[in-house]
Amino acid sequence: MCIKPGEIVGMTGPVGAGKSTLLRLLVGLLEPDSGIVQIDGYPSRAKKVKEMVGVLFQHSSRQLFEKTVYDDIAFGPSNFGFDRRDIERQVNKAVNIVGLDKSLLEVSPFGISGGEQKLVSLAGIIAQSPRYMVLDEPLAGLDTKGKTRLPHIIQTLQNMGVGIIVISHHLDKLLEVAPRIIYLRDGIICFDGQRQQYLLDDSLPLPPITALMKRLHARGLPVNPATFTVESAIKQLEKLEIGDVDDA
Amino acid sequence: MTPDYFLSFVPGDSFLHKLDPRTKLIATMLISILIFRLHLTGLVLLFALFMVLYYLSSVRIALLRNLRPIAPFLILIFIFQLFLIPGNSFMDMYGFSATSAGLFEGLRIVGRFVLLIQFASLLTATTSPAHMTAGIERLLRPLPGKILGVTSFEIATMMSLSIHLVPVLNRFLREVYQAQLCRGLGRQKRISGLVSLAIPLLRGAFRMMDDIAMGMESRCYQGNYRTSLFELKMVKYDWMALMLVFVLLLGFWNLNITLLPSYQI
Amino acid sequence: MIEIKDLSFGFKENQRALDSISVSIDSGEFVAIVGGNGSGKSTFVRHMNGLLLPDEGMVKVWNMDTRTISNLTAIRRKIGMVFQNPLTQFVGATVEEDVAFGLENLACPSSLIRNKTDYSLAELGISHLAGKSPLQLSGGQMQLAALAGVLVMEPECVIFDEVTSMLDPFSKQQVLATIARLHEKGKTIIMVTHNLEEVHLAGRVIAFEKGRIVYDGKSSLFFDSPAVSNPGISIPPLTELALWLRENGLKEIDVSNPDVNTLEESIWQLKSRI
Repeated sequence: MCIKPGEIVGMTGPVGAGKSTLLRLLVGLLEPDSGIVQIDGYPSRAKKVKEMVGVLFQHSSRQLFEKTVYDDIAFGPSNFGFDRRDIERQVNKAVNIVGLDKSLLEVSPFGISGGEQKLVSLAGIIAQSPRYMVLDEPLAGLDTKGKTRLPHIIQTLQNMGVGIIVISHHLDKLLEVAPRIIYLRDGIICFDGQRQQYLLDDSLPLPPITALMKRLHARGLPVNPATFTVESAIKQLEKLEIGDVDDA
Repeated sequence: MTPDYFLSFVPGDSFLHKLDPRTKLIATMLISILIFRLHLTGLVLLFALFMVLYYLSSVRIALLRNLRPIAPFLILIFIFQLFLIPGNSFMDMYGFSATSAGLFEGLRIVGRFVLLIQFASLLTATTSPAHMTAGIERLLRPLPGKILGVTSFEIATMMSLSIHLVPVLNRFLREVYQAQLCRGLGRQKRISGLVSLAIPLLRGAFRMMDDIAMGMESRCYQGNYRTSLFELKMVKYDWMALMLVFVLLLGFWNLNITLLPSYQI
Repeated sequence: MIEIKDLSFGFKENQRALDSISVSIDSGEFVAIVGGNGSGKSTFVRHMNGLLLPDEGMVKVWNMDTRTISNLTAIRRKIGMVFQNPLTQFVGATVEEDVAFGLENLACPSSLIRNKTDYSLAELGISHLAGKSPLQLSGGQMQLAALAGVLVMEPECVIFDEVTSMLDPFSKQQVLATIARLHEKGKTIIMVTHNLEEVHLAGRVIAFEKGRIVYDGKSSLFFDSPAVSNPGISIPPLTELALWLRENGLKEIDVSNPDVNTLEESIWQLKSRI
């Protein structure tokens, strides 16, 4: 498989499908038994890769350690040799992207809520200004506000030309952000293609809304079987004018 | 099957596995005392005993790998003894002379450590952590723990918890390490390299302890008298094994067969 | 059975985690407790078996006050609790040792512990895991093992504190099915969750917001209450669609537990009425 800069790929699959192994291979924490992993021409073991690929691990919000939120976000960039003014710019940019309250920068990362911690660790990755990012279950631990914000964050990053892999069990959320889906099972890529094709493939698990729309489509209703959000489903049903039944 | 960790348990149902943990604990203690009494000849005989037990245990622990953590230490001791003990020199190197007295003394001390470790690993390889803690708890019970503020039950629980938590913390540490590695850990020699691992680990450990304490409490843990899933029972074989070790201890106590020369410091 | 009166509890001086809560729960009920992060739902259930003691008000379990220390063991035998993180509620080196832990604390004789442990593992269909260490198990298996460790003490009520939040979808279903089965067998179930897809399992829903109860009633009516617009709560997509359908002409639809089949039928009906 191959991932381009500025592309968003959603990766999903059952437990033990090899998602986290693949993640570790991508950033050179594991070495492939055979085959190659290359990032912009560098082998995945190369030191440069750690700088180019930012990884948000599943429990990353538990791994904060600096005295202030600012220092924690600055940890990555300062390790990768940015100078002080650059660091400040990077941190501010990252904080703006994730939508973190500026007043939190000077407090300890241990005094803030779990959802905020998650955003801080995400900002820490963004501040490294990686060319690629891997987000492992970014939704876990986020509060409702963060969850609604996440698609915007991912969108902003994409516009900046960052290639993003999102790993998640939440199929509907994944479909919302990722036009390309990879489905792994037992260490094998079962599906790799566009979102629309994924939704039309019956052998893969589907979000409930899609399952419903598919059945309605099969019964002859003029709806798009590849629908996965409630909003769009409601819009299509409105068009069928079933809402006006009572008046009729 | 070779165990992953130093001094770990290997499941089995050999004669040694079936012995009561108390028997094995006491026997190991007695043998340890003996090891420090004996000279080279005695150590060779004990090593023969070890090989017999090792064969009986039917566990194939990596005997040499067990020594790896302390191997540099042992080599150093041996070299010191070899060159620094005065006596008949048989080899000269850079102005230091290796003496035969030093050679035997070095062998004796290194042999003691090796035997100690091998007997200890035999104990841990044939006794599951649960049995071990139950055994230690039972042995400690007569001690006036109340005065010290801890009961034998609390000590046993603490022991089994720490045995079980080491791999859990290990896994957590690896997670933190990998994440920090990806954030450029070790790129620049900064003191916070260590801090960036230690703080999350400690916080994680404390939070874990809180959770565990809560879980234990809600399952009625009180730290006082408790029973065990594994009932300890001294049977005929246990007493026989203990008798044998006693006989061995008494018989070897003043063993001075000097097939090999022994030097006292 | 569980009687809570004017319970208040504060972690910090000026901010109350729980604010004068009064609830009573009867034997055999299945109660879902919902709310966002920090709404006080976990704090609340921890009062029920005396892990936390009220600052004000009282909690009585089978008429035993949790503030009387000598009652605590008896209370905890009647009310078991399974927690969120599967790994940190393990105290044994293997599954069977862990399951036996509670009975060991009650000083049961070994042979009885053995029988009950084996029975409890078999009941949940995880006998084959008895000798495994927790690190060899999946999250779902670990939660089932933790549940076995609670059931072995034969409690009358089991509290589940966000037990599915760290599990993958498959394990989640497995654990939820087990909880539903326990309720059928007559156990009282109290399930803390932030996933509203789980509330239809329960007969009654109690919703928390900022330390106060904002809804307490039938689960079938929960989605009609203003509590649903609570900022910490997100409505599952199918429920949202069902709510829309009801607003638009389908009065009789059950919004508490819509599935793909019923929604398909309802929409089809609506369509054919035109």
